[in-house]
Amino acid sequence: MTTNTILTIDDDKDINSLISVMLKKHGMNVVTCSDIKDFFQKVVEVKPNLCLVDLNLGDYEGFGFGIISSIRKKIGNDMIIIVMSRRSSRADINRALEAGANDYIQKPLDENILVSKLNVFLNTKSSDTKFPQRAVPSDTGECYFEVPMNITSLNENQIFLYSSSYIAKGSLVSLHSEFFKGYKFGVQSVTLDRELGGYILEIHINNNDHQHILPEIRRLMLLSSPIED
Amino acid sequence: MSSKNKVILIVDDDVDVLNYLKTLLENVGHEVHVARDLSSARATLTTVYPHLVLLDINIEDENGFSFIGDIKKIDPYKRIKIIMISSLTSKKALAVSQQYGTDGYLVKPINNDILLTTMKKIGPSCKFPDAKNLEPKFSGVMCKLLGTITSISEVNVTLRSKVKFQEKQKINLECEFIDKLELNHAQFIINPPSTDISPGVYDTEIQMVGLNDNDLKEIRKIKAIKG
Repeated sequence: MTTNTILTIDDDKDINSLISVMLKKHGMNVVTCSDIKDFFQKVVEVKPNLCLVDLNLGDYEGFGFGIISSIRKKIGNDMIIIVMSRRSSRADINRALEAGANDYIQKPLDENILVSKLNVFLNTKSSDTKFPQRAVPSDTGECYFEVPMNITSLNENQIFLYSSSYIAKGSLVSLHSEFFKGYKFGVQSVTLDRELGGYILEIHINNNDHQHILPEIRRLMLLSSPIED
Repeated sequence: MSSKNKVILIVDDDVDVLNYLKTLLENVGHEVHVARDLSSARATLTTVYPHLVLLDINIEDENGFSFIGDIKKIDPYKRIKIIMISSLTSKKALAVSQQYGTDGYLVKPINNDILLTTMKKIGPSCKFPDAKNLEPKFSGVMCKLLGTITSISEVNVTLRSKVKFQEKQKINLECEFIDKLELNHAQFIINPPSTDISPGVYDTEIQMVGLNDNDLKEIRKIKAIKG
C-alpha cells in the first residue's frame, strides 16, 4: 500500500510540528518547510501527493494567494492544494479557490476535518474519521442538480444523449441549452456505450407535450453536417 | 406528427392561391404556413423551419428567387425542398427551376392532381437526415434532475437520486435546505462511485469545499442521525 506524502508550508514551526504529528498518526508521510524557496525545492525532491499551504506567510499579508497561482503555474493543475488560514470570510475563501486551491481549512486546525478532507482528496477511504450524518428535513431537502450531456443523434421523434453517469430509465429530466429551454422529457431507455464507457439515453419526443420544440429540432437538424461515409 | 406529414411554407402574394393550396395540403394532413410577401416569409422561415417551401417566383417583381438565398442561410446542406410556382410554360419553368437548383415546379393555374402527384413524388425526400454531427456548441446540453439531499455532515452531503455517478465532477445544487444554511457559496464535488439503494435509486456523497468555521457551527447544530 503506498503511503501518501503531504508537503506543508507554514512560517510557524509549531503548526508544522502539529500537522506532522496529526497526520503521521493516520499513516501519512509529512514533509514541512517554512519558506517559499524551500517549498519549491521540496516539491521537486519529494513529489508530494498533496500540499498544505498557509495563506499568511511571513510579512506578506495575502501573499498566500500569490503562492497558489505560482504553484499552479510551476506544477500545473494536478497537484492538490489545500490552503490554511485564520481568515474565514467568504471573500477570502472564494479568492483562494479561484486562485486554484482545491479546498480551504480554517485555523486552528481540527484534526478530524483535516484528515477527512485529505482522505477525500487522496481517494483513501478511511473509517478512522467519521463525521456524524445529520438528517435533512424532507420538505426542504428537494434538490435540483445538473448533469452535462451531449446529443449524439437527434430527429423529430427521438433524442439520443451521451452521459458519463448512469441515469435510471423512467427518470424525468429537463434539458437546458441555447436551444432547449428547460423542456421536460422522460428517459425511455438507457444503454451502455462500450466505446466511451458511459451511457446513451433515449428520449422520445411526443406530439402532445413537445409540439412547440419541433421547429427548434428541425433548426438543429439543418445545422448538422453530413456524415462522411 | 406522423413522419408522412410535412411542415410546408407557401409563399405567394395571391391570397386565393394561398388559401387554395393551404386547404388542399391541410386536408391531406400537412402543417401549412403561409406568407404573402418576402418579409413575412423570412420571419416564418425562421420560426417554423419547414421541410418544404412552395415559392412563387413572380412575387415582388420577380424577386422570389432571393428567398432561395434566405433559405440557404439556415439550411447550408440543402435539406429543405423548394418547389417553384410560376406562370411560365412548363418547358420554361423546368429550365428556370434547374437553373436555380429548385426541386420541382408547379405551373399556374395549379391543377389538383398535378399538385398531389408532385407532393407524392417529393414526399419521401422531404425528410431531414438524423442530426448526428452537431457542433459542440449545439450538442452540449445540461440535463436537470430532481433528487433529495437526505443528510449532511461537516464535510459532505448525501444526494439521493436516479443518477449513478462514476466521475469526480463539480456540481451545482439548487436546494432550499442548503440555501437556508447559507451554504450555497460552497463548491460541491461528486465523490464517486454512487451506491445502490434500490433499483434505479442511488446515494451519492458530495464533498463540500470552502466552508469556514461558522458554516461548520451551523451544521453541527443539526441533530445527528443515530446508528
